[in-house]
Amino acid sequence: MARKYDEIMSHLVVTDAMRSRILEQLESAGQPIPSSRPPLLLRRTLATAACLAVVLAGISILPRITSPQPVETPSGPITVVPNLQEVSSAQALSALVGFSVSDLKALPFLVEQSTYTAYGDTLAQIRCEGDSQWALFRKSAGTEDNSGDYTAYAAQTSYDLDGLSVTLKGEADQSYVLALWTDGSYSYSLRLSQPLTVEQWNQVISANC
Amino acid sequence: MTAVCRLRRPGLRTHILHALLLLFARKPEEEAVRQTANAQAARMLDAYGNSILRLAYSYLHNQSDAEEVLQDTLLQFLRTAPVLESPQHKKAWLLRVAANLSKNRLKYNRLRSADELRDTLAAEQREDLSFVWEAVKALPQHSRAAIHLFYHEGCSTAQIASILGRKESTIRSDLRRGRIQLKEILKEAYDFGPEI
Repeated sequence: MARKYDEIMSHLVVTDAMRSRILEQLESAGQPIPSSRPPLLLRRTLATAACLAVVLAGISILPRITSPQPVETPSGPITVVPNLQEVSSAQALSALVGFSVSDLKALPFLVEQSTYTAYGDTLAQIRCEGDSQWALFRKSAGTEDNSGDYTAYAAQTSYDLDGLSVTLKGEADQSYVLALWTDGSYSYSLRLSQPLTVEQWNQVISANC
Repeated sequence: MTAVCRLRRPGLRTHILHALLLLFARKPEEEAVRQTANAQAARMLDAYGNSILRLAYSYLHNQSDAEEVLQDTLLQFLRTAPVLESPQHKKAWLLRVAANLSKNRLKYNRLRSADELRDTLAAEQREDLSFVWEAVKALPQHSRAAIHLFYHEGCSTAQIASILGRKESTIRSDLRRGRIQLKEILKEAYDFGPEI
């Protein structure tokens, strides 16, 4: 029966005529691959703007160089804006932050798109999307909670997993959306859009250490 | 003395045509990108076209509709340029998009009634194959898709769950029900191998 089904399906093939039709349609739809580099005209415009900015900055600095003024110290709390940098791969992210970061494995959905962000040289973040779900992963040196998630979840559990200290948080038992774990050297966090059980989280955490 | 239309002056007309060409002609960069996209589409079509076409046909039972789903799937791939880890992931991604597009067609679009495969099997006088095809066509949509992916594409229940966006336990149920129904229809002709 399975062989007969395969024989039935073997009648359905992409013929040369179908192939030509489809490729013609795709070409006329005019869908170029999204380029990682902006178009030439935009690059030239941006380069010109950058040069202008440097010149203006130089003009503003020159008077200070010739007659230096004491620097005013601001009073009150200072808000530090993190140096955010987006890169194209886990390898590039690792190079920026100075520690190893890998693409996420064993996620409960098929990854269709990943975004890699470095917060200075202290925190690496990977956001994955696919199948209407998402995952937000962070790794940083130390053992503190780096998730940035201050939600007061209704359920929480902590335990050891093969030498890792794991904390899961969610809205109900066996329904956790946030995992925090540390190996004593690095701190990890993973937030998912869909909750998982403890067993499911253990598989994900073990695959991403 | 009659005034001569400025456009009749060859010099000016040439300048205008040249300016129009510069304005609308594809820049070399854009042409290179377009050719790369076309080459990639051709490669995808050669590698995965049959699989996508057959999955779409298992939903839609019509060659024209299935071909449109195949085209739209490749268009989606070229537009979104997803980051995929391996050829297996690529195929799974394509099949999932094709399944979703097929399901949308079933829900929202008017479908063509012709079933070219049925007609081909009848023309070849392959009653055994026609019998099996009609039995599979009669399955509910979810069971039909699961049966197709499991037996024809060789996907695991976990892979099918990912492709169809359903739980693995649900896929096992779909497969079980599909096999039971096929057994009832096909009787002695049924042979899907051991239980999952």
